[in-house]
Amino acid sequence: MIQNNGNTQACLFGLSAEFEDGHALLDAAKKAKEAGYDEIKAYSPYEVHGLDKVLGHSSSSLGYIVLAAMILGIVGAFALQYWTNAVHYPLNVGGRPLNSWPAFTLIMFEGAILFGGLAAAGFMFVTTGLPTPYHPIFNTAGIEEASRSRFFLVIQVQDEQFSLQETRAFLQTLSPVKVSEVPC
Amino acid sequence: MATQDTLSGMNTAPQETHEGHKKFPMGSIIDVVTAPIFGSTPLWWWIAISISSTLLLIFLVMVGVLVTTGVGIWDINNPIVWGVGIINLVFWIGIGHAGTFISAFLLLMRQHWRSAFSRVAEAMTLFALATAGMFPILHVGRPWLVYWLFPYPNTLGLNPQWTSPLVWDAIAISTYGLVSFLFWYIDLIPDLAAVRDRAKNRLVKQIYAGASLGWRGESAHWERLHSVSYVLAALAAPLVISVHSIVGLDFAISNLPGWHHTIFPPYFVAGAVFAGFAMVIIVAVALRSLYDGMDELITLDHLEKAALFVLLTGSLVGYGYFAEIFGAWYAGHIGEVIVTVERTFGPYWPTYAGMVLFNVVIIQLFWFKSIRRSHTMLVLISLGVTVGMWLERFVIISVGLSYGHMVGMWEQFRPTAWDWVTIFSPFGLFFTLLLLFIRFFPALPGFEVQQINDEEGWG
Repeated sequence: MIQNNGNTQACLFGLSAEFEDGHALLDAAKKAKEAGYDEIKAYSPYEVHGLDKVLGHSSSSLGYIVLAAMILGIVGAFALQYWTNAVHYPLNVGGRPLNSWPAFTLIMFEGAILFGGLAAAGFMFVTTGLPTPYHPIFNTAGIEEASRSRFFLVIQVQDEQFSLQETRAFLQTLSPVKVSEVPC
Repeated sequence: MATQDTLSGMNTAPQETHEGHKKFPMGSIIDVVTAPIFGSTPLWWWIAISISSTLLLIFLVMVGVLVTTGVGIWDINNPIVWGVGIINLVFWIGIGHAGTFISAFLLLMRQHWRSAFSRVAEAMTLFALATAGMFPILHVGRPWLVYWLFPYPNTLGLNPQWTSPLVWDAIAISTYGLVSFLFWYIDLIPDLAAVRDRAKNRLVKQIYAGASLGWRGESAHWERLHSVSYVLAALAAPLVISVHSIVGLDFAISNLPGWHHTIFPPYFVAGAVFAGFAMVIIVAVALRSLYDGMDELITLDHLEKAALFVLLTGSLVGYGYFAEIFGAWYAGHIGEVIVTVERTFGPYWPTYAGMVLFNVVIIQLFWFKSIRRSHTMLVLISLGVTVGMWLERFVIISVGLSYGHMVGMWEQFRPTAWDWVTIFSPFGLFFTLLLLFIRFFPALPGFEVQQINDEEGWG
C-alpha cells in the first residue's frame, strides 16, 4: 500500500493488471505501447510468443558473444597444447613431431564447446541480473499465480506518462481480472 | 489452490482439440508437476530408496576397500588391464547420452513430445555421469592424484599427454558434465520458481526461492532463457557425439585385435543412445504408473516414440556388430579373425550370445505396435537392453584384452567377489540420486508442457 504518512514521495513500483491468458497479455502490451507507455513489464508462467517483439527484447548479441567465446576456446586449447608439448617441456618420443596438431583438434573442439557454453550461461545471468533475491514485483497481490495460470502487465512509475488515476483508468480499459498497486 | 488435485481428478476434464491433442485447463499441469513435492511421501518411494541406498552403502564400502587396498581387488592384471571399472565407465556414460539426445537434438528439431521426458532424462544424464565419473577416478588407483589428468602449473613442468585418448576423455567428460549441468539447471529455474510459489512452509519456500535464483517470469527473461536454451542445445548436440566418439577412440586408437576398428566411434554413440533410451523408458513407465495424473502428461504415444528410437539405434548397433565381423574378415589379420571366432564360440560365448540376443534379436519385437504400447513389454525389453549393453562393453573390453597378439599372453577374465559388487552397487548411487530428484524437483518441465498445451494442445 502507498504510504502517505508524511512522505511526499509515495513508494510505488507500478500498477499491475492481471489477465487470464497469454493472448490477453499480448493484446494489453500492444495497447499500452500504442498508448505511449514505455516502462512496461510483463510476467507470465511461460514465454508468450510475440511479447518479445512488442516489448523490444532481443538476444541478438548472444550469437556473436558465443561465437567469440568458441573461437577463444579453440585458440586457447591449441595454445595450451602447443605450449606445453612443444615449448615448455618438449619430449621427443621416437622422433614424433612435438606439434602433433591433428591430435590436438579434439581438445580444441571441447574447448570451443566449454567456452561457448559458459559464455551462453554467463550471458543469461548477466543480462537478466539473476540471481535477484528481492524484487518489488513480489509484492503484487496474487503474483504466485504468475508461475501457474495468470499473466501480469505492470506499468512502472518511472514512465513519463504514469499517473495513478489515468494509468489505472487505462489499464481498466484492457478488461483485466484485476488492477492493483505494486508497492516497492 | 488445487495442488492435491490430479489431472484426472479435476472437475474440468481436458478437451480434445482437432488434431487429437488434449487441452488441459490452465494451471492444472503445474499442479500435477509440483504435487509430488508437496504430497506425502508414497510408500513405494520409501521401499525404493531403502533398496537403492543400501546398494549405495555397499558401493561406498567397495570404494573404501578399493582405495585402502588397491585396484587388485578387481581381477585386473596383464593382459586384462581393464575390467569392470572401465566397463562401468562406458556403460554409465552411455546411459546418460539419451538425456542429452532427448533434450538437445529433439529441441533443435522442435519435437514437442520431448518435453514429456526431457527433465528426467537430463537429470539421468547428470546422475549417470556422476556414477560413470567415479570409475576412472577409482581406476587410477590413487584417486587423490586424479588432478594429474588436467593441466595445472607445477614446479616439475609436467603436463598431460595431449595425444592420448585418455586425456581427451578426461577433458570431454568434464566439459560434458558442466555443459549438461548448465543446460539442465537453466531449464529448471522457472519450475523451481513455480514450486516456490506453491510452497506454504516458509523454510521450503526460501529454499526453492534460493534455488530458483529469484526467477519472476519477466518477458525479457523468458526471451533470454529461450535463446540460451537453444544455444546450449546446439552446443550439447555435437558435444554428446564427441564424448562417446572419444570413448570409442580409447579403444580404436590402440592396435589390439578387436579394438582397432574405425566403426567404433559411431557405433559407440549409437549404443549409448540405445542404452539411454531404454533407461528413459524404464523411468518414464515408473513415473506414469506411480504418480496420479502423470499418465496424461507422459502418454503411451510418447513411450511408443521412445521405443521406436530403441529400435532405430538398436539396429545401428546391430550393424556395428556386423561391421566388426566384416572388418575382421576384410582386414584378413589373423589376430582379428581369432578374436572374432573366440568371442563367439570360445569360453566367453554366453556373453556374446546374450549381447546379440538382447541388443539385436529381442528389440525386433518393437516392430509390433501392441508391444510398443505395453508397459510390461516396454520395461522387460528395456531391462534386456540394459543387460545387453553391459555385456557388449564386457565383450569389447575384457574379451578383447584376453586375445592379444601374443598367444602366450592369452588369459581369461575371472571376476572376483568385488568385481560382482562393482557391477551391481553403482545402481545404488544412480537410483538414490534419481529418487531424491523425483521427490524434491519437478520431474517434468511444467512450463514447457503448459505452453505447448495452451498453444496447440498436449499429447
